[in-house]
Amino acid sequence: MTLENKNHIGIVISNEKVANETYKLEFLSGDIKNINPGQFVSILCPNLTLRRPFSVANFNCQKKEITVYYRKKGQGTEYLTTLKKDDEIIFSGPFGNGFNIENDKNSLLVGAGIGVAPLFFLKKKIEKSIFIAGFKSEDEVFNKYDYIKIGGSIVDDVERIIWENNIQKVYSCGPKIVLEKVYEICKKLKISNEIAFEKVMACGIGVCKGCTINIKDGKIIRNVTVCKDGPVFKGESIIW
Amino acid sequence: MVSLETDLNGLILKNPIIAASGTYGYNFEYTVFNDVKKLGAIVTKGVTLEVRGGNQGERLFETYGGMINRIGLENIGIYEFLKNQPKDLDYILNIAGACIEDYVTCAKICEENHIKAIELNVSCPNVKAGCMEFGTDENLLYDLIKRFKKEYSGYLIIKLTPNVTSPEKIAQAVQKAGADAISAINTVKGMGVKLNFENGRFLKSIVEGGLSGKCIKPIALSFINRISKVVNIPIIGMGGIYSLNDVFEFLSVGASAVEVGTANFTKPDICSSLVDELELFMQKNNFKTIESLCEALRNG
Repeated sequence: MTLENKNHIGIVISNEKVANETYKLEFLSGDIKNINPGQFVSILCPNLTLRRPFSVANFNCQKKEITVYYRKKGQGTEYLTTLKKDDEIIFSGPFGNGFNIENDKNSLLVGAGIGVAPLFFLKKKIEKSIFIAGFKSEDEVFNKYDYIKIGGSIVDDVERIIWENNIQKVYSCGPKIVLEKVYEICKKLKISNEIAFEKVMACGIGVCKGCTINIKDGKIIRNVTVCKDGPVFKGESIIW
Repeated sequence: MVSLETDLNGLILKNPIIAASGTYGYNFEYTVFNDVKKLGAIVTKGVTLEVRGGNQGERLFETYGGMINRIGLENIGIYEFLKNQPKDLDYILNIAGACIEDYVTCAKICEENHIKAIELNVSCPNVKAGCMEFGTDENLLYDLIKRFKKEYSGYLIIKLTPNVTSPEKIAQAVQKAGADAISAINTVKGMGVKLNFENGRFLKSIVEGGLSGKCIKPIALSFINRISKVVNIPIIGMGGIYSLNDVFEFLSVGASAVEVGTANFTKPDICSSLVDELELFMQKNNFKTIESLCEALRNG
């Protein structure tokens, strides 16, 4: 068995500011063959010990181009803002399990803040979907959605949109508090849902156990790693 | 032709570059990043007699020049490990325990299963009971090694903690008890504090655990330098190795081989790269053996 190499050198195509403190980075991905929505790549940042994980927001298989979005928050993302066209980046991946796409269902994609990133990629692969997003303020908004909520909580609209559109599956990504509320609505309405989780991680392949969380597997509670077993989980398996 | 073969007084490795416990999994997992077979050995993630779930809550905290972890020895347990032992891979099994009986039972199991080499973890700072208690008390440690060796006839490495006042006393006890080698250092006890001032109050998140990475290299070098003066069993050095020059620094203060840990998270192919770089350096500079290189480094 030959395993796919997960070490890569990327060449920056573009790195542009798309909203307040928010950037879109596109780079050539070398020899990566396939990426699924929900999977992530980890970028090496100078002088930092841990690589920084970013959800893939698009992968153009023919052109071998990866798109990620990031919010300038700490040293790692500060470095990313300095990247220019033709710069080299060292990254690894793709890691983790992506969303389990069910194309026969009417789907709702719920993103909050920078959490919208993996849902752009998912939207491309899903046939019948509605993409809604919530942002804290006007200047944080980037890209287009079927519905946007600025200020307040996008969660307040989820139930109504599910009813109005006969939604059968919900995919969400964003802060934990949003994910939990989306899950609760899905639970109440008995709709299957998947969430993309976030956690500080080290190895990316599930061996160091730095990003372990407990999940419910039927009646059993067991350990899983966000990097390898996730980052996408069924809402009902999460211990909120 | 140069030879990178490294003889640790009974354990012969094809080269002195070893992947450290906890950073490399149990088996061939790092094959997705580099050729694992190229390494002198891998040390498995620490296994205990029973399966362990590890600590709840945040387990990682990045700090200046390194990171803090408090995994708490989450592992599959020795029986599960033995079911899927690595084949055609030079590995050292890292064993940890909460009490002396756990260690001794593991020793028996390893003997029955012909495990070639063990690194005994008596230095994990992240579990409530056992482990580091043994590594900080020379009498306890002496007894533990004696009892372990009664059951296990393979190659035994003792992994030491830097969280002690007298490394010399501990190292001497290890040698006196008959261990084959020492590896050092395990992580340094540390704490990361993150504060956020929101709505008029401080939100605090804390990760207390073991500090590793570049920032601990000076501590490791000093520790190894000190113990190398009082023991003559081989020392496997580790603590913040990120480059060939770092490897040389460890060899120069008395290590005979090295382990690379945290750097595997930063550069997952670093171990095989170091093997290549070491070989190239030796070829270029006419060092035919690791011994001759170590000698040159020590005599400076």
